[in-house]
Amino acid sequence: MTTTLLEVDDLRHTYRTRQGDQTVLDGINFDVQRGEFVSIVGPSGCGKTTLLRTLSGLLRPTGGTITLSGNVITGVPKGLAMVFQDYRASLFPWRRVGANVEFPLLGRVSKAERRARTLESLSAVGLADAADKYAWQLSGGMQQRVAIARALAMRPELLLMDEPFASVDAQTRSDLEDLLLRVREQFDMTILFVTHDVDESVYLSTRVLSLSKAPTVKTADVPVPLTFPRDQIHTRENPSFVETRSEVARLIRQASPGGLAAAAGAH
Amino acid sequence: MESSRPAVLTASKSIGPISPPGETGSRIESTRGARANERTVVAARGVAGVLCFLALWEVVARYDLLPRDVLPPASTTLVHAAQLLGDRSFLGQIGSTLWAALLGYVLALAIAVPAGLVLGLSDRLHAATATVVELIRPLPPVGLVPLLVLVVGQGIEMKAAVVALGCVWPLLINTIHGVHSTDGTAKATARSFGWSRGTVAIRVVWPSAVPSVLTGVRITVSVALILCVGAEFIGGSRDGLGSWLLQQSMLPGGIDTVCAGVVVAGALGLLVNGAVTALERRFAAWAHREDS
Repeated sequence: MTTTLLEVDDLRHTYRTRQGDQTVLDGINFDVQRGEFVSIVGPSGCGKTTLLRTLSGLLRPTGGTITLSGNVITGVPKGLAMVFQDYRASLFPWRRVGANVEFPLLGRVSKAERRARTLESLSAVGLADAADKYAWQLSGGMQQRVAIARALAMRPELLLMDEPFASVDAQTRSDLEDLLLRVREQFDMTILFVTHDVDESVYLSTRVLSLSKAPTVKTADVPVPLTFPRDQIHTRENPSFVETRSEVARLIRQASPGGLAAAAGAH
Repeated sequence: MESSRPAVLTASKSIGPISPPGETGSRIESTRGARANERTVVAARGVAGVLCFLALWEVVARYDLLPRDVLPPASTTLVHAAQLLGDRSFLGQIGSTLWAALLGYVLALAIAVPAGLVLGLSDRLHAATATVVELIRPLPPVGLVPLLVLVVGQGIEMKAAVVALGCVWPLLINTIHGVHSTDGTAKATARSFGWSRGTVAIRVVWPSAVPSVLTGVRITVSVALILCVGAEFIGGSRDGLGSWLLQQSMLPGGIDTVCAGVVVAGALGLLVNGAVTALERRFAAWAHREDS
């Protein structure tokens, strides 16, 4: 029994520039069901960021509709939280870690509730002790965990993540992936995750969408036939993982003439 | 540690010779105690600098390297300055100058900070006003004294106006700069909380701009005192440090008193500068962090 949380219908976006109109999104359609973990992968410059900005209500698309829990999005919708790639700029340096986590709740929930949620979220990402530090006193991976905790504190129906682990080292990245899967269980969240890393998309998701290069359309919708919990060693050597990974990689290569290497190298 | 901060040291030296630099290089591994220790060292160096300067002054004056009636020895001047601090009428003059400077300064802040926020947030308004601002900005405020005397007289209004005219532009420009330097991702993050542009301006843009506003304050507070004294000189005010200095300089042997007055004025500037440094330490320490 699934219900649709997010519906994207014929989404289009054209930037008007001095060099003329530039169509980035050229009619994108997909749904996200409650409880799903959907990853979006695509070649470099495929308009993933534009897509996320329209989904988060920060950018109004030039065509099509986005519906979240039955309501058409016209601005930043309620029930949505976003985690950015650039955690350094996304955490406010004049506020301590705890104050950053409760920041979006100011004026919306009581002080006691804010405290409780901050503690709960920080504990969920293993940073309960760091509440009184400044974010810039923490390592990159810890900073991104703070950003995740802040998103959790908002109790979002849908969590949007824009290449959240692209700026950390490989070991930290694996740890963050597993942490994300854990908190997803704990908080029963629906996640839409943008990445350029095919392995990561398959490892984390229940479904992978692939996009073409701009003007962007959806090129494939690949379910991931793997159970949870997942494991960095065992999941990655599972034949289904290897097969799905190859399929997604092939789809991306077809969508980007320069090849996967060129797409990855540009990042 | 020393090598990472020469720019800051020079910047604060140009403002006050023994002002400790703002909280820089607050490294992760350095504890509060270590930082306090570092501050003590910096302060000790500042004191040493002052003592050397005074010694040099004393030598130059004692050995008549400069004529005695132009430069009295440091020791005499300091004693004289201490006596002035017990002199009620002198303190009244200082108070009059400080009051006028404060009034003008508050006026400048009240105009520059809100205007800077608005102009920083709106590119259109900024573009529309930039030329006018650039046209008015280079006018020397002291040059406007004769005009101001005609309009508002020689009293506190004139002094405050000169101070405001001189301080408003650096404050405005630093505020605009602070608003412009707000990180795009920080703003996008705040908007993703579902906040309106107004809320984002108050909760994110303003705190981001504070360090730059305080830089503007640091630059202008000492200028405010200088302008006020200058306005008293030129505008022929009846009271204030400027007119007092002018009167004393005309008395026989008055140069000693003038020198003592100047020392007191310098000490005053130092105090004000220290207050600004404390403000920066409290509200802008995060801007001087070292990212990990």
